[in-house]
Parts: sequence; structure tokens; C-alpha cells
Amino acid sequence: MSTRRSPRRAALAQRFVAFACFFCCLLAPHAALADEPPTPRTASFEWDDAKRELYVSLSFREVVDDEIKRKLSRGLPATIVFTGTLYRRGVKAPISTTAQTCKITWHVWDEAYRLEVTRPDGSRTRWTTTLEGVLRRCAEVSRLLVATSKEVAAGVSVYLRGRVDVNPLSAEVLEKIKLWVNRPARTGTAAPGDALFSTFTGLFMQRVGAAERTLELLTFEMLPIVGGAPKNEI
Amino acid sequence: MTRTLGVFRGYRVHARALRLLAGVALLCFASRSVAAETPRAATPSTIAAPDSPVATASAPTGVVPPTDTTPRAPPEARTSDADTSEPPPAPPATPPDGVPGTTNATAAPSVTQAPDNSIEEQGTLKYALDGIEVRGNGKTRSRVVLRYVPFRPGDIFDVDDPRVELTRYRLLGTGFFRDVQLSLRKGRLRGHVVLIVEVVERNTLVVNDLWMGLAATASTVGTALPLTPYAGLDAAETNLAGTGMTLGAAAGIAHDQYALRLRFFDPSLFLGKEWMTSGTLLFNHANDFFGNHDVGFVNPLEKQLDNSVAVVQYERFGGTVGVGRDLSVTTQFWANYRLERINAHVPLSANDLRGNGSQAEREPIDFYIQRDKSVLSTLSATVQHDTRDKPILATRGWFASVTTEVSLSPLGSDYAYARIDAMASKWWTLPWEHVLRLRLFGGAISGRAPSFERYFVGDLSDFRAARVLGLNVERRLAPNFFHTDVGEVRYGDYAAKFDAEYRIPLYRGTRAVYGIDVFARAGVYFIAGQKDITQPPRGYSGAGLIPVDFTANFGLQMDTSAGGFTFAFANLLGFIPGLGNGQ
Repeated sequence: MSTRRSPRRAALAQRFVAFACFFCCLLAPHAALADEPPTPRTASFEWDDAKRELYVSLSFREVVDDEIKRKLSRGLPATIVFTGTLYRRGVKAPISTTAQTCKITWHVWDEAYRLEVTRPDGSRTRWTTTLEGVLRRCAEVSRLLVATSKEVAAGVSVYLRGRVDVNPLSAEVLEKIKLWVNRPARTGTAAPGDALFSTFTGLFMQRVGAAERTLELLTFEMLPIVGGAPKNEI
Repeated sequence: MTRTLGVFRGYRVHARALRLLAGVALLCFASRSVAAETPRAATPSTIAAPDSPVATASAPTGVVPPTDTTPRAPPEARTSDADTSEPPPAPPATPPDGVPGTTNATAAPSVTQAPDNSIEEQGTLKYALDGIEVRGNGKTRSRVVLRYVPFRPGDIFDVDDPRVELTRYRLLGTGFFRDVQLSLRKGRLRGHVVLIVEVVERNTLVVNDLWMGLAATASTVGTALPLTPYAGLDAAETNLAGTGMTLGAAAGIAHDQYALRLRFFDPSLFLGKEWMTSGTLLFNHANDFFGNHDVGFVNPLEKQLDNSVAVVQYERFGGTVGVGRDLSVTTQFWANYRLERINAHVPLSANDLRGNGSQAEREPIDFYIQRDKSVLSTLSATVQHDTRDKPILATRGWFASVTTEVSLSPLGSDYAYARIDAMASKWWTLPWEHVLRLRLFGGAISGRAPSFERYFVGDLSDFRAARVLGLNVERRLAPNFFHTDVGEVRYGDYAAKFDAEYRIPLYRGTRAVYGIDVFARAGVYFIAGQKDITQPPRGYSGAGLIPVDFTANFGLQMDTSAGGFTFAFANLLGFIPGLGNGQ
């Protein structure tokens, strides 16, 4: 009795192996990208003279890429939100959190940017005519209050995990978009229950994230210095 | 009478089918020709405020020329970083007479005058909207884009209005565009702006559905075939000639059967903005299988007696037209009229053994379809409620629908019946991120619906192949795990199904593959004809008289950039001998 497989079965097996390889190749790079930790970056941690308040300064200008730069001068508001969580060396529980939001509106007729910056120490509105001014105010945090002496003692090394969102969508708006796109008025399916559900609609919904750009941040661990610069740097 | 023109890979090609395909090709060609011949402005198109001089005084393309007489360097090119807490000095202004917001600005103390004549109220900037300009739409007509823009010339445009962002996402959600950006530019007067909608178009030819599977079928003379493949494809152009209309085609093929579909959907062309219209043309060259045990029938084509299954070969040709409207963001209503001509080759006589064991009786088979030519004409209405967070790999929300269909002689129908189907599914995300879905389906038919409209065991059991575009590719009966009289039922007038699905996310991504879940599903279903209730088959007693069966499935569900895919294994398990009465 012959043990050789029939050509038909061999061809089927080859197709199965080819499909499996294709599937693995499709998945492998994305699986690798799924949870890549951010590269640590330099930041400055600074206590005030009385060692009561701890401030952080760092830059995340790379979040404003060319597309976002172009978008900033389109006359419609853009928002850059920074949120950070402070950690102590060797302790997984966070010490404190901080945030800065920056709303940028290009005034079409005045040809100037209106910046509304909100931080723990208050809100300010500024005007600038240059993109550099926008980046300095909104793509950096300068002496942002991050903790007090009640939360962390002076002389303790700390690091910060942060996240920057450009044009984040509120949960309410996100939900509305998903509902609207899912079953948009006067668009969509050929008939209820039909297979002709717009493929693009479904696929697009998978890409509706919580923000247009998101950047995860991690700072090096360092011992805060004691400084004396003015507190309010908005 | 339908002519058989030839045989292609064992499938007969009929003249009517060829005519249908030729019509589709001609329609597609015609639409493209129209698109090619219609002069389309390469320049942006604009709609302007009716009272605005823009509409008449602007360039022939309709583009609004900016009136700012103080050109400045673009912001990216400026080097001086002159931050200030005060706005920069305004450029020379045109008198603000007629600016809609100016009066409000002076009347309300809480309102501050912005450096230009726009209105700034509690940090909100508003302009008078002179017009809307659509750019980048080489194929899509501007009116199609403007259909999704909720602003009109003359409106007061609030830059913080959430509808601005929603408009962008809604345009992206049409699938017509790869990118959509909204921006403002100066209008004819200070404080006036033109809204620019800039789109980047994309390919809109999409694959909606793809079927491939194995089934146990039979030849047209009733000879059982152990394993036969079937396949189908549904594709559509969702932005036909840039009009926003959908033209789709689908084809299904199985052993000695094929189905063709042509569909049309328009969001608002014929009946205005509130109503949607749709239409479908269909042609099916199909078989239906009848008889349970020891079948005998005289085949009208072969004039011979066989004893596997009785086969009815029939053709359906017709279509539906429908109108629909959104009752809310989550609820939609559709009404459809269907007209089909059916030509069936019904066996001259057929019978089978009905019942269990020695108590089985030989009975004639009711084919539920009229011999030779007949007409099916129905009216149907559907209400659908959908709150799922996403159509593929949903994690929460509801999907429910109710459909009623009536076929009456006054409508010209040879089949008098009424049907109602109701279905509800609910998804929950469990605290440990797994997903649970419960689904309930129920339906009933009153009267004599044609066989292809009756409930079919293959549509309810995951261990059998479901119908594809109306093609029945499965001759086997239910697996009958509970040893009830469901083993005597192939088609039914009453059906119900309840199942639960448990999904475990394996992978979540943002590029080609958005998600992969492993799933397991189990449930029970009920199917019975009117005769199974009034005259149940002999040899069954007690709970065995309730035609219920178990169904289950497991596999992978994937959400990818090419669409949703399900790799399930119950269909293969159905071929294991000894699993129910699987053959």
C-alpha cells in the first residue's frame, strides 16, 4: 500500500501552511508594537525654596508633528492635554498627579494664536503670533506643580509617567461619534439586517480613538533640586 | 422558458442570468461614462449666503476672494515669538455694518468684542459664515459632501460647536474619504469666514461579505453527495459616480446552484433628505431538498425513481424596492415591496417515511412551492434598534429588530402567508474584560410560504450549512442531540433560538488587525412546521415531541482592515459520524 499523499491533499496542506504563515506575519509586527514602553526622557524636578511644592519641567514638542502644525492655523480650536503621574523610586503606587491643558485657536482675521492654558495654579489666556510661541506654551510644561511636601519628602528620587493627547475627545463626544457613524442618518445599510453594512463605516469606527495624537512619556528617575525661580510660568 | 446556453464548470448558465449580468455591466459602464463626460470643476466649489454679494460677484468657480488687504507671512514662517496677554493689533477693518454678531456684541455685557469683529463670548469665538467651500473632491459631488455638513451660509459659526468635529467624523464614516479636514478662511467682511471642507478621496469599492464552506448536498436527481464546497461574494461600490449612492452585486455558487444579486441604495436622492431608498434585483437557480427517511420520488427532469432526498429545482427572478428613514440615531425603519416570479420543477410524486422506528408511516411530501410558474408579492416592514459600540467584536449595547411580512393575493401573490421575526442581542463586558452576549430569536409564519421563505434547520444549527443568498446547500437533517422529533423537521413555520456567546480577547491592535477574540457559543433552538404540531410524527412521546436541538460553535473572530472574519469549526464537526445523526 502506498504511503504517498495524493497531490490534491498535498496542495491543500500547502495552502493551509501558506495561510498560517501569512496570518502569523500579519500578527507578529503588530503584536510587537502593542505594548512598547516609552523611552525615558530628561525632565527637571525642582522644589521651591521652602521645599513645600515640587515642580516639573519637560518638553514633548514631538507630539506636534507637521500635520498638527498645519491644523493649528486652520481657525478651529485644537487642544493639547498633558497628564502626569509622579512615582517614587521602587514604589509602584503613584504619589500624585498633575495636568496642563492648552486650547489653541487661530484667529482668522487677526492672524494670531489665542492660547488658553489651564494648570493647577490657574488659567491664563495668552496671544502669540508664531508657532514657536504655541510650542513653548503648549508643547512643554514649565514649572508645573506636581506634588507637595505632604505627598513626597524632599531628598527622595522621583520619576514621572505622562501622557499627551492632542485633541482628545470627551467620552460623551466619542460615544456620539460612534453612534452617529455606526448608524449615520441617511447613510449606511442597504436594508436592515442586510449584509451590506458599510465595511468602511465599521472599520473607521475601529480607528476612532480617544485623541488625534497620543504620546506616552516616561522621565528618568532623579533627585529634585531646590530652586528659586518664580512659580507661575504659564 | 429558460434556455440553457451552456455549461461552465458544471454550472448551467441561463440566458436570463446572462442578461442580468449584461445589464449590470451596462449600468456600471453607463454610470462611469456619465461621470467621465460630466464636466467637473477642478477648482473648489462653494455655496454662499443668499444675501451675500459673493454669490454673484465672485469668480466663475464660485470661490470667495479674501478681502484682507494686509497680507502677512504664514504663522509657520514667522520667527518673532511675541507672546502677550493682549491680542495683537487688528489689521485695517471693513466697517462692521451688517455683521450678524455685532449687535449682540454690544448689547450683552458679558460679551466682549474680539480684536476683529467676530464675537467672543466667555472664551468662545463666533463668526458669520459667508459660505462653505468643498475642496479635493475630484469624484464625489459637492452636494454629497454638503449633505453631511450641518452649517449653512448666513449662520453664526461657533468655532467650539461640537458639530464641527462630529461633521468631520461623519464624513470619514461615509467611507468615501481617506481624510477630512475642516478649516476657516477670511470671508468678505471682517468677522466673516468661509468654512473649507477639504477631503482626500479613497477607493470605495468594498467587499461586504465572503462565504466559503463545506456541505453535504445532493444532485438534481436526488443522489446524495458526501462533501461539496460552496462560496459567495458580496461587493459594492459605495459612492457610485460620486453621487453617494451604493451599487452592489453578489454571487453565490454551489453544486448545480447559483445566485445573483444586484442592489442599489440611495441615501436621499428620490425622496429628499429624510428618506432613504433601496432596491434589489435577484436571480436564483436553486435546489431545495425534501424528505426525511427512505424517500421516493419521480424526478420530472430524469423521469426516474430515487430514494435519497427529493429535490425541487426552481428559479427565482425579481426584486425589492424599499424606503427607510432614521427614527433616531439608533433606530431605523424600512418598508419594502417584493415581487418575484418563480418557476419550479416539482417532482411528479414524492413520499417518505415519517416517524420513529416501526411506527413510521409513509406520507406524501409537501414541497410548499407551486409547480411551474407562480408569483410572490409581499409587503414588509422592519424596525431596527442598534446601540452596539461597534459592529464587529461588539463589547456592549443592544441590537434588536422586528420584521413583519405579508403576502396576499390582492397584491398579485400566489402564496398567501404572513410572517413575523423578532431578534434581540445584548452584549456585556465582564469585569475581567471578557464579553458575554445573549441572543434571542423567534419567528412565526401563518399560511403557506414558499419553501425558501420557511425556517430552515441549517439556518438555526451551527452544525449544518446555512443558506447563502437563498441557496440551500445542505441536504442533512438536524443533528438531533436530544433525540426528539426535530429529526423529522427540515423546514418549519415556527422557529426560536436562544444562545449565549462568551468571547475572550486575545489581541488588540490599531493597524491591520484591530482585534482577535476566541469565542464559544452554545444554545438551543426550536423548529416545527404546522403539521409537526397538529399531527406529530409517530414513535415519539413526552419531551420527544418537542422539536428542539442543541447547537454550539467555537473559533476565532477577527476584526481587520479588510473586514470582519470568523473562523468557526462547528460546520466541520457536523461531518463527524456519530455526532447527532451527522453523515
